[in-house]
Amino acid sequence: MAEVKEHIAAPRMYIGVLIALMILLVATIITAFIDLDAWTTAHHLGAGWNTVVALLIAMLKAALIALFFMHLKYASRLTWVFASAGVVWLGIMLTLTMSDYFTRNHPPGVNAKGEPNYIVEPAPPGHPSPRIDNYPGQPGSYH
Amino acid sequence: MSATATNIHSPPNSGDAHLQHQFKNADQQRESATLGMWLFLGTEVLFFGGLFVSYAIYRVRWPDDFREGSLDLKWYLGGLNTAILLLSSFFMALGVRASQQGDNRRVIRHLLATIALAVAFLGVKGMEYYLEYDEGLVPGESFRLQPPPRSSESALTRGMGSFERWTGKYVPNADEHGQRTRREQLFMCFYFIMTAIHATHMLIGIGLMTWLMMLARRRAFSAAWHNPVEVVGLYWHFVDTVWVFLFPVLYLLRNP
Repeated sequence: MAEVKEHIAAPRMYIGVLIALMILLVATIITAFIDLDAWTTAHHLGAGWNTVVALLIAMLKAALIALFFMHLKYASRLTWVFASAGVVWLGIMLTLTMSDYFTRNHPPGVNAKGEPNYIVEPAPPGHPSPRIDNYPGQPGSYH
Repeated sequence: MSATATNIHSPPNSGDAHLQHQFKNADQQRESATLGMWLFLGTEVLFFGGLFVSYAIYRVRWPDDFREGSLDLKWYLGGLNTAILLLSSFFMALGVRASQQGDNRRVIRHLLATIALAVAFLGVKGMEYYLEYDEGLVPGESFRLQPPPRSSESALTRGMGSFERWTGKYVPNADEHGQRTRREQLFMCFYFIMTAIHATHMLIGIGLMTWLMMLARRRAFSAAWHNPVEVVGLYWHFVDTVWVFLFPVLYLLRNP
């Protein structure tokens, strides 16, 4: 193991990182109140951009904390391997799990967006009407 | 520690009584300590990661209910807590820096600031839990489908009146029948479990920092040996990082 001499950073660096983190905190709150999807869907860029932006800002903040507060920038290669291992395995878990759930035919009869996959026949008189989870406005829906 | 007698690598009077015999020098020992902490933090990433993945599954499944649930949380208290925690991390970094220079008095000062901010965080968190209990947001029997009317007598306006005026009129988070959705409880389950586990980590961190302050009072840390401060610092920054992800994921779902 090639040990690394300890690096003592200037206080100025910590203050700079703190200011950057606070700016990012304000940025994440401001973007949360703006409906980005209203613009992106109008320009055919898809939906869900608020979540993407919020997570990107969170990752940027985490990177700042890890690199400077946790001294990863000055750490050995081996420390980098240890630090990224958990994130990589979390990425695998998230990717495989979500690839299942995004492509699954969601029971009972709804897709991932909560829309019904098929039309439910109205129940015969005297029988409780079938329930479709998460489909508001349906008679007998569980909402 | 009686490592000095058995230490064959450093002369007896090198001033480094903490160097264990299996290490070549203080730098190698410090790197082993931080490496061990990073390994532990890797398991912590997966521990919290499991919660985040299950959260993602249910949020994809029921996005509207999660949005409704998030609107019932107080984003300004979550934001305030984020700022408090980032500031505490800053003071922790300064404490680690002081320990690198072997300045025990400054270590104590910075750790005190970190602990004070951590206690402030837990205080705000406790107040939030109380307000949520008061509004009937706790899942289970006490979960209220009918949000309480926003009168001047409610706990929120008693404590947070100026905040409510500042953030605009209260809009009950309910469907066209004035009801909360039953599945909002699922979001609240995630909220309570994730924030409670995070708060538990903070309590452990406060305990560790108290131990560090006791060591620093005895002038235990030197430029050559301050591994406990370094390692607890890593832990504290990790707890901060978890909250950095929890805040947007739980509080900021206005436009998901």
